[in-house]
Amino acid sequence: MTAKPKIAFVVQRYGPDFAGGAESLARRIAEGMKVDWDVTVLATCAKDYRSWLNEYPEGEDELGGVKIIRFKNEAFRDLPEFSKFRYDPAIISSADERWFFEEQGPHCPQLIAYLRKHKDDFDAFIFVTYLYYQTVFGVPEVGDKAYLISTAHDEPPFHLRRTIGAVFQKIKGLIYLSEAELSLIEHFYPLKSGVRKIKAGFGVEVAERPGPIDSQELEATFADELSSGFFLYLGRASVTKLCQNMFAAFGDFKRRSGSRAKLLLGGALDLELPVDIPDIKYVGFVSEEEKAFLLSRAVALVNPSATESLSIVIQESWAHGRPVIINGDSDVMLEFTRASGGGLYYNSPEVFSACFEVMTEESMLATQMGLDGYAYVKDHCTWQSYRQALLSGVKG
Amino acid sequence: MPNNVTPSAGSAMIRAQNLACMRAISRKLAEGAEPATILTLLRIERMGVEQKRIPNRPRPPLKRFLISMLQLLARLPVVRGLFSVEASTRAVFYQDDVRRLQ
Repeated sequence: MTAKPKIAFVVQRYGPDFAGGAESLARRIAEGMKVDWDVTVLATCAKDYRSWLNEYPEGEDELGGVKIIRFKNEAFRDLPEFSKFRYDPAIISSADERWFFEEQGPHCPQLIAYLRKHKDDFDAFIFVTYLYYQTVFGVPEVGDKAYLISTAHDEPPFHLRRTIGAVFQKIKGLIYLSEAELSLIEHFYPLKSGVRKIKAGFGVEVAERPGPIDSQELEATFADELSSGFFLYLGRASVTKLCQNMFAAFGDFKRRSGSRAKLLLGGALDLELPVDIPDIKYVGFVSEEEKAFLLSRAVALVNPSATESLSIVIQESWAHGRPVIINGDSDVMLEFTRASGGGLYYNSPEVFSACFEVMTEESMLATQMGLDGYAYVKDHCTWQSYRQALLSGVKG
Repeated sequence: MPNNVTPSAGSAMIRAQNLACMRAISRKLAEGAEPATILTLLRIERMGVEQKRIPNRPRPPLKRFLISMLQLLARLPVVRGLFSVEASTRAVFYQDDVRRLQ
């Protein structure tokens, strides 16, 4: 029997505590690919991305059948100092860029030393996200074995061109999630010829048939929300995700329409909920079962972020046959939403508010958009298609 | 990139944009904007009598909505006889229209 290829995932944080983002993506892929690959995850001990404090134990661990090796961070983020960084290309030097990525962290030289020492022990290294220390300083150590799931989008650090350009110049393969992402990267950092470009999108579990999930227990828990109808936001609710715009548009919709609909937030809560807008409810972290139930029963899933690199959750909403409302300034979400017909997008507060209204008042259209989204993910975003893309693209 | 290719998303998108634009027009009028200014912002005068065609969209819901939109406009005295006529040359409003009214 042929031995499985040895593949290491390199990511800033890894564990059971992340509801979305690159960490969640890394975990899904690592656990999904363990059938085909001998997977090891290399991560830091951090749990909180703001401080990078060492909260997970150092050394070997295991989660979902995947081996993890965690390394201690040696410096922690000073957010007030870090936030003074100016992204002005006219004044930024190489030293400034290096300072930025060391401060950005997680500052983990032991992880980089491990990559240097153990490069030959693995067939390939898959770095998850371009933005952090472990990718910027780790890719050069294993360049000819480095694949990058960049999750790049147009944000200031992406334009720190000396450092980020060097990362994209050294990788062996780019695993990209959308055409918008690839064209952004190739516009600013043309890839060398021979670099493997692996379009993987993302694979979600797609229900055999779309429709509401039955659960007596959860129906009792969310009886009020099911009776009034509800919109759903999943993931970290924060100012950077523009959740304040979602609250304002939802409030405007409620005032105009008199609708009883609620807005449920599931995941981490990093901003104050408005006291003057009724029916916004934080439900905390939700289990996979609760998440699936809520997705299948929501009027629509809402994602107000303008800087999403993928938004797995909009695809999960479609996998349950429900439509989405997304920020049209996010090229990636716009690409998927337009291609699928699975929802509405807005570029102004007025249209955002009207999207809530259309979703509640035009239930037939909302249902059909959900079904169109379902058909799209079934054709393009299954786990099997994602797995095949990785298996054919990632070679030692 | 084309707009939504599916009829449902296309119809729903147009409905949301039209609703938003209607409200933006009302707000501008309430703020004292001249109808002619609004028409300019919406670039309606450049449209002439061109009827915007919307391929692959289901006609009946759109027509119903267009009629209701014009009825609503006609209820605004300041634009009666001016805006309703001009607006009838537009089948749909777009997200950019809403932005221009901000």
